[in-house]
Amino acid sequence: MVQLIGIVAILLVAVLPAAVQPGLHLLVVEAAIAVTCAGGLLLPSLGLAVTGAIAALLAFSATLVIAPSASAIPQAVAMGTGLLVLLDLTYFRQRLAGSDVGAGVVLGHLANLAISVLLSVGAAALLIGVAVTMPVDLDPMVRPVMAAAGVILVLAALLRALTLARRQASGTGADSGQDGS
Amino acid sequence: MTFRPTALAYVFSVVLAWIVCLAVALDRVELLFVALPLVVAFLRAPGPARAEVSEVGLALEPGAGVEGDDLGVTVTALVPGTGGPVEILPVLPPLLAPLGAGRATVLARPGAAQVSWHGRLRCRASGTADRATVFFRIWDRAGFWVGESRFEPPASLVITPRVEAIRFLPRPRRTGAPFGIHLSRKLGDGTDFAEIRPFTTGDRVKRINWPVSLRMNRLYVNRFHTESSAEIVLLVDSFTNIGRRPNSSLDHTLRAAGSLAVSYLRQHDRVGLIEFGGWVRWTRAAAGPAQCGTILRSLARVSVSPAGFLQDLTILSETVLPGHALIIAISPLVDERFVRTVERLAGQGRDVILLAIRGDVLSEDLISRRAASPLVRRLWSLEREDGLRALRGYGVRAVNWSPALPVEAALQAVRRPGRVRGAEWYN
Repeated sequence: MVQLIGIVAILLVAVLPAAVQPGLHLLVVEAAIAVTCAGGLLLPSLGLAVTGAIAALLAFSATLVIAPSASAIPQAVAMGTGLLVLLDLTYFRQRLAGSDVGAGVVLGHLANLAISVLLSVGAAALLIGVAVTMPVDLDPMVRPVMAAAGVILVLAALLRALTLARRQASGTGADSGQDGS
Repeated sequence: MTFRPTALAYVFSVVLAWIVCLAVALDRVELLFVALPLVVAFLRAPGPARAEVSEVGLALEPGAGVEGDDLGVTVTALVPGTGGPVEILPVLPPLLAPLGAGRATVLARPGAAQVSWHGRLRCRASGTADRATVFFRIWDRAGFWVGESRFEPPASLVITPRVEAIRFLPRPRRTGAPFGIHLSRKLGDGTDFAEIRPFTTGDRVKRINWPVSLRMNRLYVNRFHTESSAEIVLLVDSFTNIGRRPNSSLDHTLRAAGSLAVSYLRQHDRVGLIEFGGWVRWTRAAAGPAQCGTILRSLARVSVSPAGFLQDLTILSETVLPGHALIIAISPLVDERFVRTVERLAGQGRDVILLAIRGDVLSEDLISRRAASPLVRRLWSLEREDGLRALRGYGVRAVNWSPALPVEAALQAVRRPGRVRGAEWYN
C-alpha cells in the first residue's frame, strides 16, 4: 500500500508541470523526473528522492514562468502534497527496510500523513479565502523586499530550531551502556 | 534518551529553502503554496522530547539449548509515549541467528506502555553467553525526531553441541571397575562362557555343569568372563580453530566428543573430559546420566586460546588422568604442543586413540586459489600422513577423519585395541 500511494504521488509530481503549461517538450523532463523519484521510492533512497523532488520543483517553476499569468494555486498545493507524500514515504520505507513491521505501524503512519494533507489543503483554502476577502495591494518595488524578509525569517526560524535540537543532543549526550532495570 | 532530528527533517529543510528561494527569485506566490504542505507537516511534529526507556528485561526459554534447535526469546520494556513506533534491535551473539525475516522489529505504540517482543532464534553453534545487547529506537509521530538507547540485560545461555549415537565404540585395552559391558580376562561371575574346570572347594553349586560331570564321573563347573566398565578420557584440542563456525574444526571436535561421551556413558562406562589449549580445564571421570549433562555443558564452554600455560598434561593427577584410562584425543593436529602431548602420553604406555580432523577440507573456502591447488593439497596430505605414521610408531591408534563423514565411520579403523609393546597384562 505504501508503494502504491508513493507511485500516485510520483505521478502527481511528474505530471503537474504539464498541467500548468502543456507541451510535448516537457514529456522528456517529466519522464526523467518520474524515473528518478520512482528509483528513490523503490530502492529506497532519500537522496534520489530529493533529487527528483528538486528537479520537479525546477520544472514546475519553469512552467510558471513560461505560462500565462493565470493562477496555478491548486496545482501548486497538489505539487506540495505530492512532494510531502513522496519524501515522507521514501524515508518511511528506508527506516523500516530489513525490519519486521508489527500490525498498525503502516496504517498509523498513513493516517498521520493523511491528516497532514487534509490540514494543508484546508490551510490553503483558508489563505485563498483571506486573500480574496482582504486584498492587500503592495507596491511592486516593495513586494520582493517583503518576500525576501519573509524568507529570511523562515530560514532563520528553521536554523534555530535545528541548532537548538543539535545542542540538546550533544549537550546531554545519548544514553549508552545502560543496564536494564 | 535524547531525541535528534532525522534525515527527513534535514531533507524537508533543504526542499523548503529551495521553494522559498525560487518563489522570491521568480516572484511567483504559487511556489509558496507548494511549501504549505511541508510547513504544515513540520509544524505538526511534536518536537524533541526527553524520555527514558526503563524496566528492560530479556528472558530466554528455560533449559539449555542444543545446537541446531530453536530458542524463544522475549524482550520487555517500558517505553515512553511519543506517538511514533518503537524499533527493537537485539544484537545477538554469533551463536544465535534470527528465524524471522528482519533483524529488528518495529512495533506501533500509541502511548506510554510496556512493549513486549517475542522472537525465535536458531542455535547455530555450541557455546555460552552471559549478556545480550538490545537497542531501542523511538520516533515521533511525524518521523522528524528519533531517540536511541542501548541496554545490556543479563542473559544466561548455554548451547550444548549436537550429539549423534555411535553404535560401535572403540574398545579399551584395560578395564577397571565392575558392572560394565566390557569382557575382562578375569574369570568369575558373568554371562559370557569362558571354560570348564574341575569342582574345587568354594565353587557355587549352581555353576556345576551336570552333563559334563555325569560323563566324566566327576564334578565340573562352568567359568565365565567377568564384565567390567572402562574409564574413558576425552582430550579436546582448543589451541586452534580452522574454518568458519558452525562448520569449523572446533565444532566438529565438540560434536565428536559429545557423541563419544554420551555413547560410552550409555554403556555404563566412566567418562571424563580434558580441554587442552590456552586454558586447561577438566571434568573428572564419572558415570551416570548426570555426568552426561556435566560433560556437554563443559564442552559448551570450550573456547580457543593460543596462549598455553600448561605444556605437559602428564603432570595431572591420577584422578583426572588415570593410568588405565582409554584417552581419545580429537584435534586438527595444527599445534605442535598438542602433538607432543599425545606422544608423551603414548610413550608412558597409555592407551591413546587420536582422531585427526582434516583441516584442509574445512579451510577450502578460506584459502587462496594458489594454496588450494591439487599439488599443494597433496603435499599437505603427505605431511599429515607422515605425522600420523610417526604417532602410530609410539603406539597411538591414529585415524584421519574427514568431517563430511560421520565420526563412527572413522572410528571403525580403531575399534579393536592393537598389540602393545612390552609385557603388559590386563588386570
